[in-house]
Amino acid sequence: MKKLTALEESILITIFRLKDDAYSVSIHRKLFEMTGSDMIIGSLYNVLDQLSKKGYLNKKRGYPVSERGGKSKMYYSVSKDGLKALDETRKLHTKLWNGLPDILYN
Amino acid sequence: MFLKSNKINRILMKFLELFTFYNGEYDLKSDLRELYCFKVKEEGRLRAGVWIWKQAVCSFYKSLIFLINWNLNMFKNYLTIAVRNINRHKIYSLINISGLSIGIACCVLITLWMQNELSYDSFHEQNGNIFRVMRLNSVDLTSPSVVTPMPLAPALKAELPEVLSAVRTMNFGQRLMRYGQVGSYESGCLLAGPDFFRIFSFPVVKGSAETALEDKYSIVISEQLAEKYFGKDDAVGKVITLDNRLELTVTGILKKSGYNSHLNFNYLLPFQLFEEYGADLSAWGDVSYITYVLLQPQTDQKLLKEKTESIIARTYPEYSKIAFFQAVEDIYFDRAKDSIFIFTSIALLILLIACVNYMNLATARSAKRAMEVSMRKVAGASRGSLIKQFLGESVLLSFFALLLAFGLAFLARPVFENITGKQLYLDQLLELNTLLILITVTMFTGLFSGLYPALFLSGLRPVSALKCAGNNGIKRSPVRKILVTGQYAVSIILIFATMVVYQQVDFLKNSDLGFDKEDVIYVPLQGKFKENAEMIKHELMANTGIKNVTLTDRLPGRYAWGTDSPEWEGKTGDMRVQFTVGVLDPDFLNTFKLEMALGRFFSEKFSTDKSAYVLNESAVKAMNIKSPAGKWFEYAGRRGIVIGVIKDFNFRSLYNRIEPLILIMRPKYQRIMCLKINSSNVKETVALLENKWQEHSPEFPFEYGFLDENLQSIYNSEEEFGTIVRYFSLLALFISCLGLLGLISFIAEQKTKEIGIRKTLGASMSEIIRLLTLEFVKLILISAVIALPAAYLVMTDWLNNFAYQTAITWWVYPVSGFSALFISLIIISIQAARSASQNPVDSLRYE
Repeated sequence: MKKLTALEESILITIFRLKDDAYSVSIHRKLFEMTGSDMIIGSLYNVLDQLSKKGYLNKKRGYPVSERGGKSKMYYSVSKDGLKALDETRKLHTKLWNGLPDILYN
Repeated sequence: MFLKSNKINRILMKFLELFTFYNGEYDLKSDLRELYCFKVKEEGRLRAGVWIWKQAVCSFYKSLIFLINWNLNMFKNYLTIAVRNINRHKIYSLINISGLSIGIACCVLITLWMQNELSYDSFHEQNGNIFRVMRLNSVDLTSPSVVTPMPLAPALKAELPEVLSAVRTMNFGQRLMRYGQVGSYESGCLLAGPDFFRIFSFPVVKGSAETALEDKYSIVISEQLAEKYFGKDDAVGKVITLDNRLELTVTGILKKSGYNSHLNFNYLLPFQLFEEYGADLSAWGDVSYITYVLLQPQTDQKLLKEKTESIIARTYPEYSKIAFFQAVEDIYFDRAKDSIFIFTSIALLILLIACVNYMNLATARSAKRAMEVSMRKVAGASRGSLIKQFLGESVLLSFFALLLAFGLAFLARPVFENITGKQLYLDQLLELNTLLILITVTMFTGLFSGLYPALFLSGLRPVSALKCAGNNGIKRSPVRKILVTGQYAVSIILIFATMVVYQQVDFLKNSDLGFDKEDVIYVPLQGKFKENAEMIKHELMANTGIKNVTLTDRLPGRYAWGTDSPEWEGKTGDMRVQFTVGVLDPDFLNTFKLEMALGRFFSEKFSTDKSAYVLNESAVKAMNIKSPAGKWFEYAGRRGIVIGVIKDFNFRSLYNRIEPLILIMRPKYQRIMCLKINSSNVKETVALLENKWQEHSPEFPFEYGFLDENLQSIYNSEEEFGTIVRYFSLLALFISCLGLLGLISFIAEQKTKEIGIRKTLGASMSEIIRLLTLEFVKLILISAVIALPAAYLVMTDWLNNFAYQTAITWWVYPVSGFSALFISLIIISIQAARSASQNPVDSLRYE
């Protein structure tokens, strides 16, 4: 199982939190809401592509919509492998932080 | 909230639509629109406007990264599939790779060789302004002559401001060099004027190039010569004795490696030194010297030509016609371009055959790939992506072949160098130019050979392909038959060519030249031996081992020196005949067993013979005289009587027809002693000669040679050519057989079921073998029918280069045809025997 980068991890979790409503714009908004980083859309696309190539995402086409000029949106959800990866990352994180105080800097 | 129809924003949107590289999955435009709405609500129009610009521009850059990644992945994917496919069909891939790599290896060697050939004289700093003066031959006004008058170079430099430097050169052959105990004849002597190093950039590693040739008594020698005579000592400043009488100081050491030039010499003598050999350095009538000039950039050559012609015309109008000024970089290329063309064509031809093999094999195996192709099509693959996949395979195979080709070229290099006599530097392969050429060649090979199979395979219909479960072959297309036939035709032509070249070389070496060249030893005359030559001659003739001795200026068969100035009785005013001149003595006739057609030969009995002339039959014909005997003839200021006409014999090489010849007696010009000896005791005779030599000229090394060997060596280059054609024909045949092997094993596999059934119905081994072989034998016969007439045409054209040609014997035709057939039959029958001996039970079970 390939390690997740921090960015990938945050995006994957965001998608998980969004459940059925995870598409490019919603992911971007949620990410901004939760982390405060106003990502470049382009990099978001690249990461999504990376994640789906690794097999951590499932993609689904929505219904065509007039605001998009008749095109449909692509909805993302975390796949089984993705969930496994998240769990591993969490485990690793916990292991690393285990026993350390909540606040390191006094 | 939609984007206001702001002009700027509209441009942005258009730009995004066209220029970002995300595929359909990521809809940048719509996503930005949505987010913009939110942004406007949250932070206002101004902020939102700035934000969207930032997003757009950065996303553009991100999309570039996306594109690169995507392509890399695509490439990796194709690569993996291609490798997998190659592994699946190991045998065929191996056959294909070996065929292609042989073709590419040929190209590798030829590329290296060609770069070598093209690099001649490319190292001169002044290139672009260095020219050789080419004169128009006064007799034959069409072909330019390199030789110009002796004083031309200094005159040009002195009188014409556009001529910055000028140098005259002459090949001075072999000289005797001596230093201390070491002394021997050294060839490769060039006389050159003092401006030589100012014009040419030959590397002088020790000593000063500028002044090296200024003093008359200097010499510039190569590193090899320096080592031979001086060992590790510094040679500059030391004094070498030349021809046992001239003391020359070494003023420079020349590096001989790392460059190529049409001027090939081992040591240089200042041109002034020629005076010591009796030359008149201001003789305008002496036209035997090559003149090179260094011109001002952008000199008007037409004007220069006129000026030059007027300079020469002052003293010698008949030598004054200038043809043109030849750029020094072009000199070698002009001579070599034919062979460059031939070798490049042969290499490309062999590569072509290999590609054709690939095409043939790839399409023949279509049955096996049909499943794969149809599955992909059903899964939605476009024809384009299939084509890309197959092309990728063939290109990948080609690159594997390229790697193998490097190895093959490395192994074959010594053989190639032997044949061409040229050094091939393998580190040239690392040069960018070469690599680029080779990679391009490989790409083209891959694309070219893969195109037809790619188109063919991607065009297979899924339905029909899935129906035939892979064993019944796709109908045998005529294209494939044509391809195999073509390959064999090329091989047969090459085999034919090999045989003809060998026959011609054999003919040249052994044909009757009209005089007896067997058992003739020649000794170049030097020193006291030369002065006392007449006396020595008579002493030697008394010896039983020696049948006849004669003194001449050149070896018969190697005459070269000519003139067009003679006058004769009955000559019409404007007639010009080019004669070759031979100097000899009365014993010449008997030594070489020549015959007179008319009159008599020179004889010691008649003292007037010293100024008499003997002409050959061709001379008489060219002069248009009825009965030449007794008429007067004048050459070089001496008038004499024509005492006889000698029967034509080949005094020059067989490259030339027999031309007019004048024979005279001029003891001053005698340079070689030719002895017809008894073949039974050659060793003793040579020892005797050496003793005689040491008696008279001990300070000169004793040298001798055999006339027949010497004359045969004239045709060495043709022999080399023959060897090369032989190797190429073997290669072509090998590749064709590879192709045949692949094809035949495939067909045999396809027919396994059929063979099994026939066997159970009682067919014998031979019937089954016949089944498989008949079709291919027919193909090869057809290719022979095509190839032989073509071969005949090509070889007759080549033979026309020679004035004397061998006839193409009748058996060359069937042999070339049948050798191809024979080898193919062996291959076919091995495979056929294997198929025929298969147990029908196994083959019928084959599903």
